[in-house]
Amino acid sequence: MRANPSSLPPYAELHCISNFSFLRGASHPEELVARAKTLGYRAIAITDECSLSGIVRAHVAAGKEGIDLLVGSEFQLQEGERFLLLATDRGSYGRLSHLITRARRVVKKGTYFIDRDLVQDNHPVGCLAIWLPYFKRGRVETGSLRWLAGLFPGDLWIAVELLLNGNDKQQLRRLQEISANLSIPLCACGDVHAHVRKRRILQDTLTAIRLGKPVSELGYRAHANGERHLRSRRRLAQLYPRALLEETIRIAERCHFSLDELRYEYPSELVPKNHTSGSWLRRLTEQGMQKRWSEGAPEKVRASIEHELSLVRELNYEHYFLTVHDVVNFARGKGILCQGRGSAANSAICYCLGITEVNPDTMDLLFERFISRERNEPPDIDVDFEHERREEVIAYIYEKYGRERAALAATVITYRLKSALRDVGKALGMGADQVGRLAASIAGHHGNTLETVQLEGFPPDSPVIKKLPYLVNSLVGFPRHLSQHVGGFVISQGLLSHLVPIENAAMPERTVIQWEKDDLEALGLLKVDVLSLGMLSAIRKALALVSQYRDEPLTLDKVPPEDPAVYKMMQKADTVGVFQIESRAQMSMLPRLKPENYYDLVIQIAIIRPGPIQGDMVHPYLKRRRGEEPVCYPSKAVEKVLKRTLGIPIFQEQVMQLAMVAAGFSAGEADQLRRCMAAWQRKGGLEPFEKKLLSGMKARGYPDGFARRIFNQIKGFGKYGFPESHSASFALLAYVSSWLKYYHPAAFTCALLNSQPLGFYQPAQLVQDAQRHGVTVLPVDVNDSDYDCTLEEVPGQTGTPGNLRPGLRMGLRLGLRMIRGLSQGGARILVDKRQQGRYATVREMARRTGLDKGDLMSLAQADALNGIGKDRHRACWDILDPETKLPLFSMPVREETDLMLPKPREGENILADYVSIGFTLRRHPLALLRKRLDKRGVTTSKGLWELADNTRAKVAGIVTSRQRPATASGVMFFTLEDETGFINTIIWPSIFAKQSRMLTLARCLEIAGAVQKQDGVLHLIAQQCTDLSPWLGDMPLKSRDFC
Amino acid sequence: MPQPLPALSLRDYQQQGECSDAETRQPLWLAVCLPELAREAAAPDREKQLQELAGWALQFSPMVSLKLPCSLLLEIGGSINYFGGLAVIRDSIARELGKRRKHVFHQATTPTPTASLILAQAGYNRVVNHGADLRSVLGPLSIEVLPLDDKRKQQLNKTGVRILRDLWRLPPGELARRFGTDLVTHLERALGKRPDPLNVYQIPPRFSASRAFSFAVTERQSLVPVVRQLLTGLCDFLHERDLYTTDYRVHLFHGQDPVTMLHIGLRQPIRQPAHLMTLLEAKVSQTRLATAVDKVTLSADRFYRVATRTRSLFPGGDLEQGGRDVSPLLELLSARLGADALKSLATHGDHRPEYACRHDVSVVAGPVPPGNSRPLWVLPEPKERLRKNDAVYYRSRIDLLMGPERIEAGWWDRADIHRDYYVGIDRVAGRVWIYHDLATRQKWYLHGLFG
Repeated sequence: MRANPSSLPPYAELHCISNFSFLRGASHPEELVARAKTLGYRAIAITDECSLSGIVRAHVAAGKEGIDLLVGSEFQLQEGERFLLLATDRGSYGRLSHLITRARRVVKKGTYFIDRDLVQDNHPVGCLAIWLPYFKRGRVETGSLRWLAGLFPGDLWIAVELLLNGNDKQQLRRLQEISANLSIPLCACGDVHAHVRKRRILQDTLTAIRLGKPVSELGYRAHANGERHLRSRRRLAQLYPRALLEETIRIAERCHFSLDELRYEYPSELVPKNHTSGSWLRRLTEQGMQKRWSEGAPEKVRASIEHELSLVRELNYEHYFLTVHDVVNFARGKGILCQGRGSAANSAICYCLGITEVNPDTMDLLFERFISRERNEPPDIDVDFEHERREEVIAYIYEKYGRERAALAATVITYRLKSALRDVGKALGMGADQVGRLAASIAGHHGNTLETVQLEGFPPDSPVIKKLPYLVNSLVGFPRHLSQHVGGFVISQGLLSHLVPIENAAMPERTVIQWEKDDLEALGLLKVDVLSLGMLSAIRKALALVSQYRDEPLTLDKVPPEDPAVYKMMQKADTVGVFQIESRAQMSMLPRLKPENYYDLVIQIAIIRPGPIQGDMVHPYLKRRRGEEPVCYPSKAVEKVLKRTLGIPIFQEQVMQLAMVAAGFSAGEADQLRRCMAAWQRKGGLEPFEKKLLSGMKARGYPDGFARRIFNQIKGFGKYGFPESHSASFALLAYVSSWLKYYHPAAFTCALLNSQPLGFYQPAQLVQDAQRHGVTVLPVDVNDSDYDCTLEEVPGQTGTPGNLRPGLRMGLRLGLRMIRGLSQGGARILVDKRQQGRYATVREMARRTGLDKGDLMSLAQADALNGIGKDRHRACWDILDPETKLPLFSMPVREETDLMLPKPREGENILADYVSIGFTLRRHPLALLRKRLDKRGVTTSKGLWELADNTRAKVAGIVTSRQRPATASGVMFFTLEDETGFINTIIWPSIFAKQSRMLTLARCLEIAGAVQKQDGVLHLIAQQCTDLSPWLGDMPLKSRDFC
Repeated sequence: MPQPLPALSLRDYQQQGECSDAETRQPLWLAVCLPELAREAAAPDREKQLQELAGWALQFSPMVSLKLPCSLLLEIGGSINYFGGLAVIRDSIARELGKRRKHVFHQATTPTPTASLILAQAGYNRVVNHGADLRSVLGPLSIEVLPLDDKRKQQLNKTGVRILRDLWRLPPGELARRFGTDLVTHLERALGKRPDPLNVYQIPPRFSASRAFSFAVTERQSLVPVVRQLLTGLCDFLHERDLYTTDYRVHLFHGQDPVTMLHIGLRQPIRQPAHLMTLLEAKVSQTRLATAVDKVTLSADRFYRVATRTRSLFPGGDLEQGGRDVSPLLELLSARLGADALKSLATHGDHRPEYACRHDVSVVAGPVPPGNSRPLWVLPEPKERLRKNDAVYYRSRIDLLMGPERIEAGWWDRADIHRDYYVGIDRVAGRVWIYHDLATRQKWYLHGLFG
């Protein structure tokens, strides 16, 4: 007989873990919440093991589904007992969060330690406790229950979890006796690990991954059955006495707490006693304004500042601006370069506070997406710091606010296809070679799902292979562990641990909260992004180097703006090493877009992104820019939004504004659209917006075609749309780095080399580029090199005629840091001891410095001893002599001048240069092969420019980068390098497929194909590729592969 | 057994002529290198193959030396004329290797063992008769041919030294200081400037003895005294050499009919005649003699120097102690019943009852299922039961006492189960263990009986 659902007892699930109990729970929090709603549960608790990291997602889902969410956690004490705690109100939530923090902070990342003492010391008053009994051979120990009863009088229940283990009836009877004896009520619980029964096999697999053994060997550590899921109420009614089910509702009704109650309190110590936060922010802004415009700010700027200040006051964001200002101020004081970006960063206030350099007077359009009243979105300011000195900033924050009040946001590391495949494969008992074969079958596969096709070659009827796609595809997207966010700090007025649990990060001395960026955003909590940017380090170093040889120190604000010569250089795509516009794709756009001013650069940076490319915005924009297509707008409103980009939406902000202006979206809806845009490729869910957008635009009289195009552009934007507010800040750095490259190429290259790793190019390419620009590059030398690369005056060097730039006087001396294998300590000693005088012989150098043999050999290998008359071979010979370091007698050792050791040949030297410093200052390796290449009819990269469009040609070069952009549907871009420059080649998928292995591994390639020349951009379309790597011998050439 | 000498060809005569006016009395070392051996075979197997080859090569020279992993050295200076010249020896080596399916090999002959080895290992089939020529022959070889570790090779490379000639140009004292005296010694040995002591190969011990019967034996028992005699011989052999053995074989010959082979393996190295005999008697008494036996052979070739057991103070104590050590008992049982007949019962962690219990050759106490009592007797195959009017029957109607215990497991192999188990009472058969198959929904099975 089927019971009528309304006559079934009501139920709230109180014991349910999600996949944020890593490798235990087999369902996402959202899935659990949605399923509970479908089954007609009154409420559901998410009780992850000593964690609240999945609770915000559950909270958002519960809001959407309309079901009550209880916030709780499951604990297993050191003494063995297990219990749940549920928060009833804000206070008890804070104490629960604090208890989790304490349990997590005492042990290493990813684990927790909790015992009775810890619970007593951090008594989570106000929480409800549910004891989870453990039966062993029919007996149950009740000591822990009595202990809990002492702590939670009147707030304690006994969980009855009937999971068809064969003894359900006996266990229920036993628990009823205990309940009667101790007067502690019983309640029904499900020990839920998954939202549906089907996830049983995934749960077994997770157990196997967690324990590091195959499922077939799990034995009794796997669950005996799949009952640990959200069961139907009818089923529960059959299993449990009605009273036990009804008791769950009584418990749920006592839990009033919702995460919506969390309010963030900003640190208040930044405001002086006689000020309010508002007045202090105004004071600082006005002071900054004085500095920025000594003759008084333009009226327009004054008006925006007033407008912004009132908005900030209304939304209560003063403390946020003050916090960011304080951090930036600290960095400035220490001489650490930094720059803000993001919507709020480009406000007039931030310009006045020195957070950004983007001048509101020249960039008025950017305020459109400033924090808005309607959208309850926290302001977004990311501050980039020099990557080598960001730690100082982080240390400052910890010191100022303390570990109890500041912590980094988390980043949830989730399973991706490859990692899921590897772990599931292992859990299913596959050997390393099989897992390797599987991984190989998805190489180059861009989707996030495993399809059966890819399992070709595996036995199709094997039960393991049959289950593989389901397991892998379910596991993809599962959280694996918490990592630290790149730099998002949460700082609070009170104890942060009462807001969110804090745990240890992998890095010592780092702590992270259990929520990530999206969680914070969903709850409207603020974070300050303290990010690191290599280019800022490089720029600071370059400015310092230039200051050394200039009469007056050069600082960022003294770099002359809008220099046409600098833009001319960019237009020629001569941008190796320049921030943002140096990649192959950017370089092929520069001669087409021809940036002439700062705002062009803002567009240039944002347009080469998968978003605009997939949304097909690049070509229409270029055409309009060149006047080949009329610039028209369907309405005045749209014109206002799109005018600065000639009617083509290029920035993320424009897409949102369009939705508001043309389709009538509210600000909140537009913001939802933005979030959805980021996720639709993974999760879908763009359809409701499509309908609303199309109908909204139709209602406002826009033609269907226009509406459809806008929607496609939104889709194309995906998560890769670039915000104008970020591009505006990046463009400043792109300009400054271009200016340095143009006027001070030696200093610029030197700074880049001293800030490695950064950017798109390897030191080899940076050095060759500098040489092509007339910079004299000097080799590493024990007597002349510092640890870092340095500049030295080169006699007779005046720069190329007609192009007398001051920076060209200087030569670039490679530093000891370029030598592979040389320890940093060793290099420092070498430089220190040199203060007593230059080194004369290898032996004398070895004895004075006391360097170990490894360091000495590295120096010899780098040819750094050539200056004291020892070529590589002779230097090694001397170093290998044990008496070099520890002379038996103090008599002078005879220097064997007539030693019959072979002299290094040119080829050997070039090879050794590559091994030791990654490039050579001698001839390019291809120059050595040129005769042989000539015989094969191979053209140089320079020669290629002399050929007409569509000519057939053959080139050869070292492979310096391989790219397969996700937007290019399988087309590969290879960059080759020969002694005259770069060659950009395009390899179609059909050509690649034929020789994929060779093309992936080859270090040196010969490519025959057709020349394609357009707008000053040259590509060779490959038709035939030949591997010439054997010609290079053992030369260790590395390419940067992005595929 | 030496092979018959091949007929000499014209070429051989010429070669012989060349040799005869060379100093045939000076030592001449022939190195044979089998590069495939190093790649293909496992180390013990490699050594065995080389030993066999060395045993064969002893016909040419008493000075044969094994050079692991894959080479052999023969001093043939003394015997070259006797065998009719170098080419004859080289050819017969090539033929023998061909028979052994070794098709890739290199033979080099020079006045020094080291130089011969260097050349053969580098793949050169060279003959160098005069020590004075060695320098120019070895000079262009890469330093890769030297027995140096990778680190030293890299260091040499870094000083620009690529070939042996580069090394000879350097002062030996300086070289030794940087790269060790071994390198210099090796180079000097190659040129014959320094003696080169070698380990001479000797044939490993092997025992084999046989007895032919003057009349064919059909009675098993009649074999025993003969075998005992042979076994005593084996034990004497072991005592003389202070060896122990772990196994031996008895071959029974039946005229033209196929030979019967009895293999007696032991758990530990041993040489006590009494124990050996008991095992053999057990084995012989198990053997069915299809036809009459006319000859018995006993052979053993696996020997160990150390006994792993201390012997009893009293004679015969070994067997009496068997009460404490189960090994002799287990050996005896498996000799009587056959190796497959002896198994032990083991528990195994698996929720599926049919997998939770295994017959295993080793005694292992595995995990037991948590919580529930399981019947001692689990049927190997569940038996389907009838279900009538909501009741299940075995001997009589079964009343359910406990359950359900739901078991869902095994999705990873071909035995995925979904079952609800119950403990029931059958008035005739007592307590039974039955289950309801959730996959088929309707069917009930009997799976076990409680004692």
